[in-house]
Parts: sequence; structure tokens; C-alpha cells
Amino acid sequence: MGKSKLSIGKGLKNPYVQYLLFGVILLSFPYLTEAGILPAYLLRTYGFVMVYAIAALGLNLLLGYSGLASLGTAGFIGFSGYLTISLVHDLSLPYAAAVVVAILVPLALGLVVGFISLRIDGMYLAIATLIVGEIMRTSFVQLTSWTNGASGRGLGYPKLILLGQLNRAQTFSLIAIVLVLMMVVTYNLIRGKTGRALVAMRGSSAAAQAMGINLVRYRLLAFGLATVYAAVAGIMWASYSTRIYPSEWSLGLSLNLLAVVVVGGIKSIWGTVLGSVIIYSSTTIIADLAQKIPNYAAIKSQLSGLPSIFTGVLIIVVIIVYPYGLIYIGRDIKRLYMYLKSLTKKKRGLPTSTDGGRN
Amino acid sequence: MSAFIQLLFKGLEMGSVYALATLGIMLIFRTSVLTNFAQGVIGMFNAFVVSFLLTRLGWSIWLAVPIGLVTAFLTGVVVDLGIIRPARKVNSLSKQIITMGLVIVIVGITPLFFGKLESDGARVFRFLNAGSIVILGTSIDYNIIFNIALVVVILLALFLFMQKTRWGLAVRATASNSQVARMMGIPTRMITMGAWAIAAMLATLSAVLYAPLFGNLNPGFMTSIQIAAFIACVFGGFQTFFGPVLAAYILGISVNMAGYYGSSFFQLFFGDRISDDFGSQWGTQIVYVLIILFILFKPLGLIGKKIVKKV
Amino acid sequence: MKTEKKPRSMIERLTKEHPGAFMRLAARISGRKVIQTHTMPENEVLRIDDLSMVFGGLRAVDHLSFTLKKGQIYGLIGPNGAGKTTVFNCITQFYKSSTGRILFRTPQGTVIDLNDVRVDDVIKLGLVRTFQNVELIKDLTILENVLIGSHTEFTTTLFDEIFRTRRNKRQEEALANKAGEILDFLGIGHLKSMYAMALPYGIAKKVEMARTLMSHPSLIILDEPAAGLNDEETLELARTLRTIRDEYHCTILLVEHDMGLVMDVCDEICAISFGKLLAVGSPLQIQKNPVVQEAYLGKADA
Repeated sequence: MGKSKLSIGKGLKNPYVQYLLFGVILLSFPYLTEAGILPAYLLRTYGFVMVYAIAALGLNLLLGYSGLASLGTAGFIGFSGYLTISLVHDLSLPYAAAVVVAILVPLALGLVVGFISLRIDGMYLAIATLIVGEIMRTSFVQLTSWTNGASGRGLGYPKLILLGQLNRAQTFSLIAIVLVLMMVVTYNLIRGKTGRALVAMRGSSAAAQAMGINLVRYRLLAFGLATVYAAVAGIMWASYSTRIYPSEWSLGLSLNLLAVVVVGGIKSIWGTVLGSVIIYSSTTIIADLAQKIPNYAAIKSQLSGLPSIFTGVLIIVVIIVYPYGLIYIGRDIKRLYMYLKSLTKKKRGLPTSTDGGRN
Repeated sequence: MSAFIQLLFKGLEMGSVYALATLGIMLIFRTSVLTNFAQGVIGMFNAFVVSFLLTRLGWSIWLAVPIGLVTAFLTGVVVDLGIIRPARKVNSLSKQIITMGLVIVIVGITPLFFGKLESDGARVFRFLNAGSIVILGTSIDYNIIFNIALVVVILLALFLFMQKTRWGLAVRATASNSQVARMMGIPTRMITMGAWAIAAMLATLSAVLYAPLFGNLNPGFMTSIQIAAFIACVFGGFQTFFGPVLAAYILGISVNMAGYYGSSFFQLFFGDRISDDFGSQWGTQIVYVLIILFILFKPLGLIGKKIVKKV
Repeated sequence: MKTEKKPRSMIERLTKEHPGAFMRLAARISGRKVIQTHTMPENEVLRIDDLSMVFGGLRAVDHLSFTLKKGQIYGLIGPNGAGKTTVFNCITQFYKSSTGRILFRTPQGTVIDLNDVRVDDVIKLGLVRTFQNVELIKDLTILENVLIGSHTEFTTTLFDEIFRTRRNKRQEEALANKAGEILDFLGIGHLKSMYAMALPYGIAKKVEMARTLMSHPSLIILDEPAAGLNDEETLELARTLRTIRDEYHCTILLVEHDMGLVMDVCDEICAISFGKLLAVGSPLQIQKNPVVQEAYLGKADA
């Protein structure tokens, strides 16, 4: 991503350096808003953009690498969110312990669902997760004793072992650190044996099997990882928002996260981040713009669907027109530029593709 | 006994709703090789059209529903021409995701047209409002009988169409191998468009039959039908048309039975405290879990045959 | 004296009273079978014993038997649609054969029936294959494609990968070096960082061959290795096959249409037609066999 071609540019090509830099930028947000350089609402928006990105990273592992779709992400996010709240408030567990349980329990559930559906065919996972997500959503509505129903339930900002009670800005930083860690973990996974196995499985299931890759096991692994990411996102969501409500964990959220991956960039960590920014902020911006329409109050209910129309159209258009996602626009413009340059100068030297954009 | 007969007929009615949605999904699965997640919302949107004609314009249901089916037909054609055809080169996973994008779009468009109607309470009436017949000592509404019979007639007509006519043969040929079918001179594009149009009509009819049971419409009211239809497809096996439809009826009946007998069974053991939380949903969930267990041992469904992939 | 406790749950009762049933249940869910050992002569590597494969009403393979000896290059020939690839798919468990045994000697010396093995476990026994329509992964580089072949060689865990432990780095490095050596050996080492997209047929076939060599195979099964190659490349392939056999100490089974290559390189040939065995013998014997000639050229007049 570095523009400079000097030795600093070389350092910037190292993904770890990029992630670190990204983390530093995110960590500066709270200070910049406090100093009044950035508007304060950005802290709220970008907190949730990061939570989106965490869940979507997992979904990208599943969708981009192993070619499986899941519609249960929202359910798993909500499940681990409520679990965290319940463990901290009902059972008075420390935050760290609650986090561990709130990851392991959804993971176990996800593995059971994944095992049953993936044993039949990869296609069934989308259906199975749709069903499980819907069952979870209705359970959240009905289990009022646990979720406090439509009035919602809150965790409050987390209290860590060494750092003590966090405030809003510190929680933002916590989410930023978690996101960067998840990005590093994702990068490590996809460039190693697991990443190759997942890509191979999607490219040719026959070759993958002949090379000893157990399709069910690796699909299940991908889905299990996606569940863990969703659970982490759920914990962060519960930690950052004042209250969580059953209506938030709808199919709409799962589809939005799917949009993040598809629009931002399949098989791309930066694409996922970009997608989160686009989808989350565009939906809030459109909702804000709609309020400026004269006579808004009278037609408020009619306009409530505008953000989702935008997201849906974006998914369809990107898949048809630009199937790998918007993150690759930069690379393609560069290639076009090189191509045009080579045409005008009539010189040799075709641009050799070195980076397939896999990081 | 009386309760049982009552449940059986209600189950058959529910099964009819499921069967229509299921057949639509199967039709698209076989002709376009994709699992259509937008089947339910297409029905939902056109049910709103019917509701508008009924409640705002005061039309009779006998007129409103056919018009709703016409708009459904058009919806199907628009979806095929505008989205599915331009996307014919993308792989089947991406097509699946496109239908998910379509879900968001339609859910967003609905309030744009019918937001006011929805907040005022959008309803679809029953075909037959009054009257009942006594079967084995149990009184059953005419409307239930009508709905069941209507769907059976439609299903039979479609099966006959598929088996006996030239167009039905073309659909089956497209379903079995669309490339070869096209080379043989079958207009596969037309077939695919027709499949989308008919699937949209089936979805709409299923939504219109379900709406009076549901109450005031909202954009998510068909989600449970979509899910049930998918389960029926998995349960019946994606390889035949007959299996999923059969599964849809089994599902309809067993959900109703389990809801009634299951919750009283549950109450007996755990008391009111827990059954309050689960309420009527219990029946659906217990059936779904049973079906999942069934699929664990018979992965290809009720009527499934294994397809060997050549490498 | 301890008294037998009454089993409480159904699963407990099942395991206690019907251990066989429980094993079958577990096997059914996991897809694995209980593996028994068999016997066959010391010098044999693979023995196809009365193999049949039926699709619907079609008998693609019909009571076929043949045997591969250690270190042989063995050719399986036959007219189009004779069932050669089906035989391969049965051996490597992509198809589950209808009847018959497929006995295979693992590098450790035990003899097992491959029908008891799951398709993705086959490579772990030292048996690896290529495909008729070259199955490479377009989204990976040539080097990464070859590394897929050593998937089962990795001993790293998910933990190693996530935290990039030293063990993980060392293993990745070692196997990448090995892959580089194999690519060099096949003469395409300089291409290793290219993506495996739109490769010329000759190179794609070599990449696939390199991938099979990554897994310490004792038996390599090649499905039409010469298809799409020009004469020069075919000659080179013949040399390569012999070198692989000698340097990697393995046995090679190949299906091929190019009779020149088969006659040149194979030690023994099995000719089949419509799934049935026609003849087994040396290249010379097969060439002279009237039944084989008839199957290929049709019945001579007069």
C-alpha cells in the first residue's frame, strides 16, 4: 500500500508493519477526538466499524477461502454478546473468564451445526446457518428472563484484571487492539498450510482430496474459525454499546456482514476493513441524508429501507461487475496505468504480476 | 380425536403453504442451479400488493389475488432479466449471494411503496370468510378445505405440465443439463425466465394463503416460510421435485402436531416456567431438530440419489 | 465383589451390549472403516482383484484383475470409454467400487484393502495420483500448488500457524526448499512464483507431477500424462518417468493413449476394453496380441 518507493516503502510492504501502523492510527482516534480534531461521533461509528470488521474477517475466511456462505453470523454475535453480559452480571465472573466462555460455547454450537450440514454438502451450510440464526433470534426475543426482551441488556465498559475499569475511549482502544490482532492471526493462517488447504479445496475439491485434505474437516475448521471471530465481535459489541437488543441480531445484520466481504474484497484482509467502512458508514450516512429530505417526519417509515436498498444493490452490482471486490480497484488502476504507459512508450517490459493481492 | 382432526387439517393447510414455496425454490434450483434465498421476500412484496388492493382500493379477494399473481409474474421476469441473466457467468456461490442481496433490496423497497400501509396494519383476507363443514365430528372451516384443495389442484396441474407437455419436457431437459439442452435447440433462457416467473407466482400464492394466519404483514413475515421451504428441500432431497413437496406436507403436519402435543408434554414435565418462554415455537424447533437428526443418518433426504462426480 | 452397575443412558447401553453396533455407528458418522491387514507376495505393490464398478445399469469395470510389481512402470491401455479412468478412481477411492479388492502394500510393508480407506487418507499410505484434466489451483502460485502435495507432511498444529512458531517457519522453509528442488529437477524451477493460471499444458502437467513427488510416494498413478504434449515433450516425459522411478524408488501406473510412449517406457501393460481384461504382457506381447489389435482397429476383413 506504500506509495514511496524508497527504503521506507520497502518496510511498508511488510504486512505486519502495515497492520501495526493501522493499529497506531486507530489508537490515535480517541486522542484526536478529545483534542477536537475529529468529530466525537466518529468514535462511536468507528468502534462499530471495527466490530463489523472483526466478524467479517471470519466470514471472509469462510466465504473467500473455502467458498461457503453463512447466514448465522448475527445469531452467533448476539449469542456471545448475551453470554458475556449474563456471565458478568448474573454469575459475577471476571471479564476475562466470561470472554473465554463466550467464545467456547458458541464455537461448540457452531461446530455441531457445521458438522451436520457440511457432511452433506457445502451448499447446505448457508441453509443450516439461516435456520440456526433464525432460531437464535426468536429465542432472544422469547427468553425474556435472559435477554430482558425488547428493553435490552447492557454490560457496561469492561473491567480488566490489570487495567481496572475502562472508559469509552479505552474500550475503543481495546477493540482496535483486538482487531489488529485478528488481522495478524488471519494473515498467519491464510499464508500457511491451512490457507493453502482452504484455497485448494475451493479451487479443485478432487485435487484437494487426492492430496490428503479432508474436505469436511477443513470446511468445519473454516466455519469454526468464522464462529470464533463472530463470538469475539459479539463480546466487543456488548462491551462497547450501552445495551443490546434482540432486534439487532436479525438476518439483516448477517446479510450486511456478507455485503462487507463481497463489496470490500474476497480473500483480502484490507478489503474486509474497507468493506466494513463502506457498508457501516454508508448506511448511517444515507439514514442521515434521508432526514434532510423535506417533509421527512411524514414519510419516515417509507424511507427506512433506503440503506438496505443501497447495500443490496451494491452486493449485486459488485458481484456482477467487479467480482473480487473494491479493494482491488487500486491494483487494477495501477495495471491499467502501466498498460497504457507501455502502449504509449512502445517499450518492452510487461508488468509482471508479483502480488496477487492475497494479503 | 376432535383436536387431532383439527390439527391434521391445519397441518395440511400449513403444508400447502410450505409446498408452494418449496416447489418455487426447487424450480429455480433445477433450472438456474442456485438456492434462491429471495423466494420468501418476493412473495412478501406481492402479498403487500394484494393487501393494498384489498384494504386501500376495497377490491374483492377474487380479483386482488389474480392481479397479485400478475405482478408476481412481472417480478419474476424483472429479477431474471435484470439480475440473473447478467450474472449467468458467475459461479453458483456468487449467484446464491446475489439472491441474498436481492433479499435486502426487496426488504428495503417494500416500505418505500407500502410503508404507510404497513404502519396502518396491512392485512390479506381469507378466500372464504364463513361456513364450516363437519368431518368425523369435527368442524373444519370451508377456507381450510378450499386452501388445501386449491394447492393440490395447482400441484397436480404443474406435475402434469412437467410430465405431459412439450414445455415440461424442455424444463426437465434444462434442469438435467442446460448446456446440452441449449445445443438441442431448447430456448433455455426462456425456460429460466419462465421458471423465475412461476416461482414468484408460487411464492406469492403461498404468501397470500399464509397472510391471514399471520396477521398484520411486515417485511419479515415470510422468513419462517422460507426456512420451512428450505428444510423441506433438504428433507426431501434436492434431486427430485416430488420429494421436497412431500416433505413440505410432512413438515406442515408434524409442526402443528408437535406444537400441540409437544407443548403439553413439555408442560407436564417442566411446569409452566420454561414452557412460557418457548410457547408455541417449541413445536417448530422440536421438528427441526428431528429432521436434522434424520439428515445426519440419511444425508440425501427422503428421496435422494447420489450423484457421482467425474474427475 | 463388584456388582455390575446398570447402564443409565441409551448410549451406555448401546456400547455395553452391542459394541459392534456402536463401532459401526461411529464409523458411519466419521466415514472411516476398521482396517484389516491382508497378505500378498513380497514383490507386489498393488493387486487389483476381481474389481467391478457399476453405474446404474452400466458395467464400467467388469471383473478386472491385474498386479503391479515393485519398481515397475505399468501401463493401462484401452480404447476410449474402456473404463481406464474409472479404474483409477476406484483405486484412489474417488469411486467406491461395487465389488472386488484393491490390495496395496504400504511403505511400511503392511498390505491393506484400499476400499477400507477414505479418499483423503489414500495419500498418507504413499499412493498419489494426477488427473486427466490437470487439477491445479489457479489462485495459488506454482510453488504453493506443489506445497499442497506435502499437506500431509506438515506436523504443525493450528496453534503453530496462528502464532507463527519457529517450528512452523522451519517446516514451511524446509518444504518450500524441497518443492523448489523438485521443480528444478523437472526444469521449471524458474517459474515457481508464477500463478498457476493459463499455464501451457506441458508446464501444468509438470506442476502436477511435482505435486505428486512431494509426498514420498511409493506408487504414483498418472492419468494420461502425455495428453496435449508435443513429440519432444513426450520424449522428455519418458526420460523423466524413468528417472522418477529410479531416484524416488517408486512404482508408476499410467493410463495413456500415446502408444509410442507406452511401448517405450512401460515394463508391463494391461489392455482393457469395455471394462474387461483383454491381455496382460510385455509391450511386445501386447503389440502382437490379435485380441488387442482387434479392439483398437476393429476386426480385420477376410
